[in-house]
Amino acid sequence: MILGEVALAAIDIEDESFRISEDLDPAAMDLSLQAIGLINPVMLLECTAPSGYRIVCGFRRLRALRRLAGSKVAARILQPAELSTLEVFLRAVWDNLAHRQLCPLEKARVLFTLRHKCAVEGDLLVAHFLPLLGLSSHRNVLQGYLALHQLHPELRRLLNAGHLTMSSAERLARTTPATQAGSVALLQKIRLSASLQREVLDLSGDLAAVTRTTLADVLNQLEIRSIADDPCLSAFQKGEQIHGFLYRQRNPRISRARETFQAEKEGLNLPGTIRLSPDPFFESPRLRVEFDAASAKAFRETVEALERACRTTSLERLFEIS
Amino acid sequence: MIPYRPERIVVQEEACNDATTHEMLRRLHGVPTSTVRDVDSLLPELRAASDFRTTAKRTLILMRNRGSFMKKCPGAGAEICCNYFVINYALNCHLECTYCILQSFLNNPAVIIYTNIDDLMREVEEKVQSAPGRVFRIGTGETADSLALDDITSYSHCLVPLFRSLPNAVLELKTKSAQVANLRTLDHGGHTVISWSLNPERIIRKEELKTATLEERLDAARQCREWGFRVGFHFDPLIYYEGWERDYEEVVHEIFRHVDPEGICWISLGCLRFTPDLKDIVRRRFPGSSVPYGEFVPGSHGKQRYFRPIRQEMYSRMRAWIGEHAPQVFVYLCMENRAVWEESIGQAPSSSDELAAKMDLLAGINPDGSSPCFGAEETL
Repeated sequence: MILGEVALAAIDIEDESFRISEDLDPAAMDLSLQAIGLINPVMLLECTAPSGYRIVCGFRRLRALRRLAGSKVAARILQPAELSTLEVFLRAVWDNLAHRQLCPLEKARVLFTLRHKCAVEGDLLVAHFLPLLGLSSHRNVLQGYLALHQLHPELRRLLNAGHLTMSSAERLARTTPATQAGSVALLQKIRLSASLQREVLDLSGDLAAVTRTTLADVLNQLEIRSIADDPCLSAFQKGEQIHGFLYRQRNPRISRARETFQAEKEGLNLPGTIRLSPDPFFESPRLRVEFDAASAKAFRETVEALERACRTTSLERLFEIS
Repeated sequence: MIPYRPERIVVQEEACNDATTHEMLRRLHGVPTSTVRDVDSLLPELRAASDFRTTAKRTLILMRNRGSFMKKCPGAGAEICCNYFVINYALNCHLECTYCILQSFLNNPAVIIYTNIDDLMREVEEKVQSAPGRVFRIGTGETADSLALDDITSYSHCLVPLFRSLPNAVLELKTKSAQVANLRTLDHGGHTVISWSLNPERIIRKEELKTATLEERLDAARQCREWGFRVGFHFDPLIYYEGWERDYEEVVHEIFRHVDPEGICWISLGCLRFTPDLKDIVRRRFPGSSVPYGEFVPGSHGKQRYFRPIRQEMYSRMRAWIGEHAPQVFVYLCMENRAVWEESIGQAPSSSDELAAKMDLLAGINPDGSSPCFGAEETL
């Protein structure tokens, strides 16, 4: 390995064979270089055409130096004859692990590179490299991360921004590129909690299987697009309404029972202090009635309201819903 | 049915000298065989493949069971349960039903057959004889099909005569196979019921991939009737889909075209249920299966089941179709609550004990151990 100074023009900035970083252009890097310059030399691999050097460590520093109109950079230079591709990439891995936590997409990139560019066997990845990256040593974890590397760029952005959970990203990553691309437009417009994300993906997956279409087809239904484009709704409200629409589509009979229950309950004209709820999922005809009263007068009024409800036809129907 | 033929056999060292091991190896002559001291040492290898639930079944493990063979049916604990017992002579099944709970239930994904059948028989005998005032209905179809492996094990030759000698017990052999040849010469004395799990041919082809056809199962039932066995039928799981009514009604019709109602001990109905993790397994292993896409709600024991009106509709219509052919045949529900019994069958047993007592009588066994009585003249 040689320590020297290399012209930026001689470095192939497009070659990302050894890249690990997800965000290549952090603003803080520019500020740091402007303030105190380059502290640590980058690491380069000497090569022939089309340019003289490939980047091993220092993608972000080199891109920032270019933006700042630098012309030369201090570098440690590796000779290709000295090291295998794996040995070169491991220098990048260790360099990164030494000073920071990798995000999931960066771990995915490391594993993908090890598997597909360095030809490391799956068993070795599971036994050695998953723990090295702080992950559980299990084949399914490896498969999940290898799939994650294929995630659509916009979905990667949503994951990094915290709008997509890791498990949702993994599930989407396992779908085809066309399906991922088809889901992006919707997912950009809505926000879902972690549990609703899981449910929306479950419901969409089920509906896609039943109708023999794709997840993207399900998520691009006219009704869903209308909700997503409604300017009166917040991103979270859109998410909830889309979840409701998909639930009704997936579970029409349960949804009908709930709607009927709600309508019949309103037919009882009960005050808000009386809460009436069915058995979970109408598993039995049993109803639960709860109320509270702060005074004898309020208690009497509640009982009278219940007596009035006893004389409505809705009461009978509430017990016949399922 | 596609018969089970393993690609290799692994014999636990402890089981090497069991007579049943030698018998089974003789019947599977030519299959590569090795021995292993600790069966658990095979687990990493068996579970290595991404589709290990399929590939591991190509390995047959012959081993001894050092635990208990006889247990209460997992249904025990439901609001109304028939107080059934199960004995596990094997673990796993090669028939590849898409909805099979064993996929998420078994730790070892190979097919395991226990070789210490003598211990199994001794345990059953001791437990049954220790409570002479009670009736035991016992099945072998919980962790394996009762007859699908019988061409390899011939365990029916041990179990049927054993139950013949137990006045307060009845054996139920529950199967999706048509493998009944071993039963022909057995003296069962009315203490063995042969049962078939049934579904429309459309479901059999799509969801019960290596099982016998409906026609084969019903022909086997007719054969067993001719040999003097009483038979049972289990519509479990009932699977809901568009057009289910026509198909299931046809199955009911076919039952009575093949078997006389007097020979039928009972018919059970149970709608599809499965655990959330099983759903993921089914989706991965059988992408063409429609089983995971019903309208499910969380039920007891952490299982998903159809929304109650769907179950009730299926049960009540099945009950009606069966009643049109044979009103005297006893129909019961498996793992259902009182409300569902009442809505779909019209009445519910007052307790699990009442249901169990009824079924004991239908099995032809009186608690005092007197001679089997046949026929079922009433419904609950």
